[in-house]
Amino acid sequence: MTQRLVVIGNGMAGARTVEEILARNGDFTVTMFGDEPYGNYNRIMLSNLLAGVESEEGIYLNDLAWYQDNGITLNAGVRIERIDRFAKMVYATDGTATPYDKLIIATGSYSWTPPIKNIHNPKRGFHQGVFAFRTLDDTRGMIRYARDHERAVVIGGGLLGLEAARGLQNHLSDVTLLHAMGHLMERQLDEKAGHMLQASVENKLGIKVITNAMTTEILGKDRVTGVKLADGTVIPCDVVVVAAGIRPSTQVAADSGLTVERGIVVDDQMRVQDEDDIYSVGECAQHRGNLYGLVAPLWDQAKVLADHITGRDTEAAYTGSKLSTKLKVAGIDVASMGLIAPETDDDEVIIYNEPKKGVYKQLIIREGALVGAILVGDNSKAASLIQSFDRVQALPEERAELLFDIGGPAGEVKPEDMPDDAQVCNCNGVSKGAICGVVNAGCKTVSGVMDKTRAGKGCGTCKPLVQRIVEWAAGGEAEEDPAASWYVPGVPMPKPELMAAIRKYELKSVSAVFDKLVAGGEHDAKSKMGLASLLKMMWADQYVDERDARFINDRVHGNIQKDGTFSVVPQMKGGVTTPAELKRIAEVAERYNVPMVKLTGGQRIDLLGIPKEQLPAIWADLDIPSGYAYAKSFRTVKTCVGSDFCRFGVGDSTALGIAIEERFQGLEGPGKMKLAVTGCPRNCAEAYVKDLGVVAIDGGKWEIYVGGAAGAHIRKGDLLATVDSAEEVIRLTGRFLQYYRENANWLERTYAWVPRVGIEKIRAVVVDDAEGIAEALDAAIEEAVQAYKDPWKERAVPATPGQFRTSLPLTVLPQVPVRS
Amino acid sequence: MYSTPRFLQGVFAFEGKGLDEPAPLGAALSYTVPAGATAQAVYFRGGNASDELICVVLVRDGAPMRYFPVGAKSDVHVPLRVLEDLAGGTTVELWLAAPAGLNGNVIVDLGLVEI
Repeated sequence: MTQRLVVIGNGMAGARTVEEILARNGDFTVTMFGDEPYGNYNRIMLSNLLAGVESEEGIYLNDLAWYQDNGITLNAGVRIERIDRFAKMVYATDGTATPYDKLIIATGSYSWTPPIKNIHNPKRGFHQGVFAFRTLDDTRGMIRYARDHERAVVIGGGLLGLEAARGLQNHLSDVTLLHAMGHLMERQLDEKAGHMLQASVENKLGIKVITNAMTTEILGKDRVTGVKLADGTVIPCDVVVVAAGIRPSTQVAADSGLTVERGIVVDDQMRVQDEDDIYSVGECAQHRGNLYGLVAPLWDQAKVLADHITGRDTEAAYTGSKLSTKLKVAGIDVASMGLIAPETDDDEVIIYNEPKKGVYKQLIIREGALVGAILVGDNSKAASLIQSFDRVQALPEERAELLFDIGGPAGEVKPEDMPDDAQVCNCNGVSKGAICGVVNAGCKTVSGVMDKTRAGKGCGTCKPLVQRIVEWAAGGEAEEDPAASWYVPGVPMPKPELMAAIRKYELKSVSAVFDKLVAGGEHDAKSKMGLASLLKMMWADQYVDERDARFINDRVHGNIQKDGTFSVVPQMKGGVTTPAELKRIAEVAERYNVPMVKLTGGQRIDLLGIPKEQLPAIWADLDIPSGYAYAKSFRTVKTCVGSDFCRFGVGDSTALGIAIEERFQGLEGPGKMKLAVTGCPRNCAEAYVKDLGVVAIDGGKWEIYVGGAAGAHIRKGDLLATVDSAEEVIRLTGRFLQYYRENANWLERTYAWVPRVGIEKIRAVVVDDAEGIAEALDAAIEEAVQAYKDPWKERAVPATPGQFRTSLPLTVLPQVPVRS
Repeated sequence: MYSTPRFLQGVFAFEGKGLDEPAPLGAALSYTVPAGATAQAVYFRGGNASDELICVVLVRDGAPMRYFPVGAKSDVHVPLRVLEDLAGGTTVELWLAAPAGLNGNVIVDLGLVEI
């Protein structure tokens, strides 16, 4: 039966929660009550409205049509004054009573006014010329009044006060900021950072700041003429803005007998204490003793509440949020998270201070994890620090890397600093403007934007930037795409669950997975390749191959080129070949008029421009196994000359490279795997930048590096282990590759996977067998290796009727010019 | 308001007849749910001025529904929000059981809400 859902509060929390409930197809008739006579707007943007960089229309999150479209009854400008929790009714000041089955209280906060003489006028509320800074009406009033006056005083040197001061500068020339504490933003910043911010605010923005300023009195009878401080100082002014903090609006809950401490006490399901049908969310809710005044925790709470109330996931639990903020305070970059000062003697404190530039950075590290950070004047590292802080990630040994970009790719580009026509995706030529356009048109998930614009669908290097732009364009409200955690887009499960289900139901073919695990059994073309690879990894020779599950490259075992022809790459283990093989390759190339013969970056010979129908004949004439220049699979092992000929070589890299390539040839994985073995630390085979690179060092030892890359991404691999023998290298290589195959996301290369999981964890599992799975990994890779079949052996009889029939040209494709 | 609070409360002198022999405390401590309404007991508060443990019993239509033991010179407050709805016509009363021969005073306050 459709239940009646009543929401008290039409602010960001209330409306967001309703959005989440609608997204889960909750069966409710929704009635909302809001104090303010408007739709739902983004309160954070009021600063921008005050500063004149945003219009009123621009700050609305949901306009009135949204309420209409979703069948929501909005009572804007109607205040609820009482809840009858026994009769399940809410009473409004206009005398109406509304029954509910479920009730959500999202009353948010109100602006707190310190006790200051004359601040109130018994008739009007505030004294003429005094404003709070909380609502759209406050902001409108402030703008209207400030226009005709000259001097403003802002009381409160927190975030809101700074924003108000900065915004007021837009309307009048003289702004003074009074802060009762010793330094600005004392909740988020330590003393040094606070002073640094103060210097920037004073010098760069021209706002006067007075700290330790207790305001005691508003002067002026009919209109404000100044404020008086506790030490007797008088500051003449016409406008006073109070931004001294917020307090949760809990009056209605307290009046109605709900448990209210600092906020309305809720449990992990956001249910009000001792009530089955009343929930509270947002700034008015007190969860595990904490009140949250930021947007991110609110979003998390809304999701949990929606999951719970709609029955989607009744066990959903909100367990609290770690607070971090990253913002421009009055035009100055500030980020803060966790602790602002060390708490124990063992806390590591790292400080960088450059007063002239107004840059201050402080990190607090406890037991190898980031527990606090303050950044002023330079936010470039904030995103990665917030990630480390949130997820308790392992920190780099070189702590300076946390604060600065040392070598490597340039620092993060800020979306707001980019011009609209700046090209974001160089592969598909997508500009920032195009991405913002799609977001403004209502598509707020990163994957949705990528689908619509093709941004990030080329080499993928720009994906993080695309994500940042989407988040920025959506005003910090990018929606999480539920599919983001899925292994493949067509099966709604993350990898571990998917693998468990495949094992449980013994699904051995791609179609079996769709039939069993997708509601409606819909076969998703985009998912087939990933599933085929996963199943092959899991079942080895028991995998039931279905041709249509393969990408064209895997169907014909060649790499499709831009004119629709294919490349043929004969295997050349470790880059070593023989005159006889070379001769054969040369003869074949001549016989078939191969337009281009080229050496690849992986030390092989590429015969380019082969029409599809000629592939079987060429492979037959070559009679060499495929070198796997296609597929998400083990590719090549690049080697240097090694010890036989090289004057410096300390290990036989060529022999080891060949042994590794022989053993793992054709192995499928979530991404391609490119390896190298090099005979000395001069590293001629570029082993430091491979998915797995082996380096011979003095004393007959070998170093194994993993997670390197030198393609679209550049990354030096992390040292996995140093071992004594070639056998040990092969054993650990197999174990590492298997661990990667089992745990990485689809298309996630090792350069992304290794840092995500952390080299310490990988080393613990692969080298030290900390989880006791080493034997299983070894056995699994052995099985996969044994299941290897040369795909080109099937060339005599095509696996499908049209396998090697030309399907081109359906359209005229660009022809690759042939070099003479 | 659609719900109306109702209270059974007061200070009463008693003489015990045995802890297993509950008896009505007084006519004031009885409430019958009006026809067409439902009620819920929301809380019980009780204080015992005597030197022995006593037990206040919430009785529904003559049968014990909840027991509230109150220690010597002590008090209790019991929120009863999970209590079931009482349909129209149901009568609830507060009775008291105390050790035989014990004389003392008890303070009771049962909060109900009628919807």
